[in-house]
Amino acid sequence: MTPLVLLLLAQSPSLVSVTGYLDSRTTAAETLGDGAAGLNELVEGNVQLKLTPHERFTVQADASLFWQGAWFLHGGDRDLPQYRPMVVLSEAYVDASPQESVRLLAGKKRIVWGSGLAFNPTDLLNPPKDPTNPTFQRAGAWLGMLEFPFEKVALSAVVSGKTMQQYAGLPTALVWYPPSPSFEATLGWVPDVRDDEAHWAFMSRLYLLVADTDVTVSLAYTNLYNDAFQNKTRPGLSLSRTFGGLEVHGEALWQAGSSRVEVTDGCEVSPVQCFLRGVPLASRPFLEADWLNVNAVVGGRYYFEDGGIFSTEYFYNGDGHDPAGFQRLGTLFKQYPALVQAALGQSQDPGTPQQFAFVPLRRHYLLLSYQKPQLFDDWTVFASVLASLEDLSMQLVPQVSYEPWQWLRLTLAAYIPLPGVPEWGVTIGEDSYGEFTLSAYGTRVLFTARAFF
Amino acid sequence: MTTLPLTFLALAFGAEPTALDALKAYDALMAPPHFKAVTKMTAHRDDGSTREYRMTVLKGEGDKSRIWFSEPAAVRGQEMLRNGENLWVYMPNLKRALRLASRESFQGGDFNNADIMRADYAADYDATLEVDPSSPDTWLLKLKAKTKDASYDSIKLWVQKAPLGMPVKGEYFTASGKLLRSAKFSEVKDFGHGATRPSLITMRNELATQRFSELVFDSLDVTAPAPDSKFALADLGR
Repeated sequence: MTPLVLLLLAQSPSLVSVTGYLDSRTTAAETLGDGAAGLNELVEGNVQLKLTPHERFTVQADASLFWQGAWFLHGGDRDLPQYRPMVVLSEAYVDASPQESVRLLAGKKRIVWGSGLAFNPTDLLNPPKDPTNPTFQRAGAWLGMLEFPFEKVALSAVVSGKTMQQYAGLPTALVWYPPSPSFEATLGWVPDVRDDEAHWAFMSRLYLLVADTDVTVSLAYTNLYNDAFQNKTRPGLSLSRTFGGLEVHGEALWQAGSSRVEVTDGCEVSPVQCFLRGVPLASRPFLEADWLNVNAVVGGRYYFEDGGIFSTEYFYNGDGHDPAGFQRLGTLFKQYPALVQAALGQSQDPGTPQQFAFVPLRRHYLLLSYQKPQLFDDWTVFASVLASLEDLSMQLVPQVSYEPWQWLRLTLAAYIPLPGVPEWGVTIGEDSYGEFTLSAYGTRVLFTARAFF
Repeated sequence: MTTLPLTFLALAFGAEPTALDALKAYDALMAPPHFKAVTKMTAHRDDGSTREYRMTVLKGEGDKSRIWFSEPAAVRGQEMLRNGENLWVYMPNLKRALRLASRESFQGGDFNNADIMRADYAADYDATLEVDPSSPDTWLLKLKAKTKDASYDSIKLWVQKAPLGMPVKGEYFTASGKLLRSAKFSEVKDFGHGATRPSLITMRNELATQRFSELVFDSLDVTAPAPDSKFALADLGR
């Protein structure tokens, strides 16, 4: 604890707020690929701490300890790193206001400026989230922020260093890779991908409340931060407004070129031959391209008089593949999933474990969801469908929750991938796959019990 | 700001108030220019069980208000902010704020968001004043929404003649004329610094008559500071 914090604690009565939950997620799944677990138990203990020693100074933290177990692994039971216990420090920061409209923040925090709920194209900082349930992702990024907040205007500037290596939820290397390779790389389990570059991002935004509309204009500069772009400047815009019971929003990010991975033509069917000939299996051919690209979301939420909420978002992913590119990528993925995952890059802190990890590969997506709370007082029904509009494959998520007491929530959900139109997806021999049926999992059933304290 | 005292002076000499006088008196009692209140809402459900919520309410100058939820644990850290026609909710599990519609139910109880976070009826409704023969000590204010964005299409509000504007009961209607909710204002309490008002509001859901919610004001401080910075969207979650 810094001397400044101790001084403030000594000068004023401290106000400590502690909350959190204990959560158990049990998943039974139809497994289709190597390493997929038929039965998975994930137990999370979460603590959220808020310390307010002074009205202009707060310290906040949000940490989770996960214990995981996986059984009935496809391909035979064995130890897999992704199912080991882990600590996730989602947030830990100090937040100070030396003056009325000046804010300084340092630490790890999830900052989202865009108005999208399931998709946030302007969010270049945070770990990815599950669009069918964004609440699963709580983790932010290590950053420093200077903000000038006013009632209807805010100016913010953020500098963030990418987590290059972490242990027990704490970074052991920020911005630059550590001088020594990781333990797994030393053993040859994973490739040594270290470089000498600084991995960082600068984000700025101007927020305005104009004509009852939230307007956010942002400008991002990133260098090898959560994608392969170097020295990339990207403007963004976000809008949100309500009209009676209807909320409408839009969010867009513009950039030159794309960081998408293209599989070399022909290598998807004979990757070994490409390797032997020295032909790269995949590349990022549009990193330096100067054509204008956009990632954008438009959506809305309608609040019914009975408490129901209908929500929809259309996501245009300018970094997505055309049909031929998707056919090559999908074909390679079905044969060598680990190879493609490595090529796509797991270049960021994944944050908290997600029930549905979404990596958009195509260009057009539609999310529809409907929630009806307080059915028979304590029941909530929820259903969402995330569809790839180019092959009409989709992830369907029906869910029902029951709250017998205010401190306990029980949820039963299913994750059902539907294949869509065979001719529009990936065809390998006589088999066809849609974008949402490429995964190693078929239908999954999830039971969650969460006790709040 | 000088019209209201002059109105009270006129009323002291026996003049009959106008509908706008009575409505402004109601607004002044129920929503002083700025205050900080600690409240508890209890939702009584069809099966006889209850759900309790504790919150701190801060009201600022103009149509600005903010709520911090402290109980139950499932909503602890949640906040709501109103600035004019704009309403946001800060969700700790999303780490961000979302826009809300005013008519959405407040934490699933029988109040809606505007019932709790907006009390500027003079701005939202046109009023007529009538005498209710069955209640000689009160005026009956009949309110009609000026815009479709108002929470209710029409309201009947019974307020005391003395002190003028002190609410006794209310009925809230949909555009089709259906009675949606009814309110009873009781347990008038002196909170200090001239703030005397009902400390208990009982809102009954007339579509499901077993359901009702109670809002109790444990404290109300009209001297608490309410700086503009507390009503900035960027301040949510701090």
